[in-house]
Amino acid sequence: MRGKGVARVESRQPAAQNEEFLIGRLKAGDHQAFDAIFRLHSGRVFQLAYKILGTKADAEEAVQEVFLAVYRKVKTFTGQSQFSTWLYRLTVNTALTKVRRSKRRKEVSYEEFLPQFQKDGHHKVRPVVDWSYEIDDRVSDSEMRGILKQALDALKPQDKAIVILSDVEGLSDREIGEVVGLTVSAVKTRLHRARLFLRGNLAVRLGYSPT
Amino acid sequence: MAKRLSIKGKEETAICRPIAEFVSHYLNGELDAETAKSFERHLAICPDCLSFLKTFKKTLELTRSFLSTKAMASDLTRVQRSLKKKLNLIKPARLKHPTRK
Repeated sequence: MRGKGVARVESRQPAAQNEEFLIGRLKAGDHQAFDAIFRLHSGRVFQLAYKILGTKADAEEAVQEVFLAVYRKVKTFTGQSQFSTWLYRLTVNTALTKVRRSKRRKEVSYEEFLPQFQKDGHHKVRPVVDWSYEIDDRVSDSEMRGILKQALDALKPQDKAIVILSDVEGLSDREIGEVVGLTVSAVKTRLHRARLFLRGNLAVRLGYSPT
Repeated sequence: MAKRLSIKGKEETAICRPIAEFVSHYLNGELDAETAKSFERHLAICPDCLSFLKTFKKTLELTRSFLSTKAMASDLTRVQRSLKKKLNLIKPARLKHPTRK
């Protein structure tokens, strides 16, 4: 049975207050508040985990681990950061642990996919080909999805998470820093290098020079 | 805060490297006005950097579009049930006393 108190507050109060109320109830051991928090956030946790892990089964496992951690650690949540940031951190940490444990991953060196320059500052390989306008016609959607998946999977796991948090979740560099435990400047550097790597990796897969 | 690059005063044909290094700052509008202008002046005369910029932007566009596709919906009620079992939040069904009917 669902708690009447929880249902009443859900319908009346703004989302943030409702969330605060639910967290308070969960800290007090209210199982129905746990159910409500699961219903509110599990879809988003699943989507984020799926993007990092790439399979439905792994993402579902991650959802379970994240909410086990929510239940067990909610008392350590002090409210200094937003609950969503805390949840993002648990999700990213859980997913990255799973990726690191998996033996499927091969480490790829970024260097060979980054732009390279001559001593005088010009591009090392010239001319740099503009493949941006022709790939929509040259490569089918499904082929492009395969190429992008492989390129993203070749990123270092934490960099992939940073790209997802920035490009999909729309988090600011400061928020990403809070989630992954890096400074804003480190987040900017990692994000930029990851994007340069993705550009070079796509170029190579499409048959061009990465530089 | 706007970012100032060390490309001022350099020959505009020789700043391909900082273009690649600071292209994200440029696209995020994080360069100061003067540096952004130098950046654009170089792009106007350097077809290599213009191609670099276009392919960099295309990469962002493709990645965002690919990552924004939602995963197939998952039946998370099954996950929730198994989670509650693990946490002992589901009370076991009460067993009937063997002698009572």
